[in-house]
Amino acid sequence: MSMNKLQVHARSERGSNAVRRLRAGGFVPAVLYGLHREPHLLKIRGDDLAGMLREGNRMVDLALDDQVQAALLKDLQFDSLGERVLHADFVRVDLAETLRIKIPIRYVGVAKGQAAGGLVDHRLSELEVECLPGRIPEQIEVPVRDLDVGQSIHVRELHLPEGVTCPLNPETVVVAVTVMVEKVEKEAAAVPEAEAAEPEIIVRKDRPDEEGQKG
Amino acid sequence: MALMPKRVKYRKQQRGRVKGNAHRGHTVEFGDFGLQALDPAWVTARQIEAARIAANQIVKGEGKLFIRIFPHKPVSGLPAETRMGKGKGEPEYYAAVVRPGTVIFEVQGLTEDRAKMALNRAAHKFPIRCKMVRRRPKL
Repeated sequence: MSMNKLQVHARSERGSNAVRRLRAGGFVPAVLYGLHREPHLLKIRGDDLAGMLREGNRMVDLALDDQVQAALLKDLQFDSLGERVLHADFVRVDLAETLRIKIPIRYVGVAKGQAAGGLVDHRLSELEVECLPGRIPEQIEVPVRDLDVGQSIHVRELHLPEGVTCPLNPETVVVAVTVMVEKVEKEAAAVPEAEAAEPEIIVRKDRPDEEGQKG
Repeated sequence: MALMPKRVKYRKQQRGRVKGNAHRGHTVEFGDFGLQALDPAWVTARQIEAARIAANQIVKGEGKLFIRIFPHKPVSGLPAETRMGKGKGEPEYYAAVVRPGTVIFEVQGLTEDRAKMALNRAAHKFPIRCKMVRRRPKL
């Protein structure tokens, strides 16, 4: 994963009102912490941050005044509709120290067992890995084409890039093709009788006489 | 079968008001794609069931469908041609309170095209505008 430079500015505004005004001015509030040093309040131009996110980079060189600090994007807060970034968290990293990070898994292809009526069960959507900050992969590809019904791919079978290890139990299932159980049909058959039923009223056990009145 | 609570503390509820956006249940958590509400609404148990059936025509045999809302709210009404007064009506149906941003359905194990088709069919059963959203990787 390449490291891009991101221009950030020190921020004195804090609190919801001040930050709301900041966002209206096209900035995104952020914070930088880690490596046992004082946290810094930052603001970033929204367009700059959007550009960084579009490229999919997690590692970034934060340029604050005349200093440059290698940092990892730790967290992003979005609004309810998931369209606008409200806040970003960056953590300082030591480039010589391994870190533990979650990487998205991309499943490639259509499983062979799907044609035979199997259901592809993606047990993991992210994989926790350990690596140096300069070697963070953007995603981990898992080919599922050869998976038949009843087969699965475990963590030990994954092909991780060089310098990347997974601390999870090697027997952890990543993806499996399971057999569908036709449970829905039986439930549907019992519909007409249950339709008119009302929910049971919860009554305190020390006052059983109320049950009749409420029900 | 339409969803309904199994046990309730009170049979009837006041209406309340749907204010603001969803602050919980607004991210895709279980599947790869989700159907997100863009308007506030009371989504009835029947609508959820109709949408489930519509989406399942595509999802069944290929992937999994997750229903992220539940109709907890009893909605009461007076029978037709009844004079006003005489107290609150009987519960008629149950509804889920949906705020803008709520993820209503999620699908897993489908390609993007198939997921779009399934969620689009489901969206037509709801009284609100919806959009498809994809899972955002956790940082």
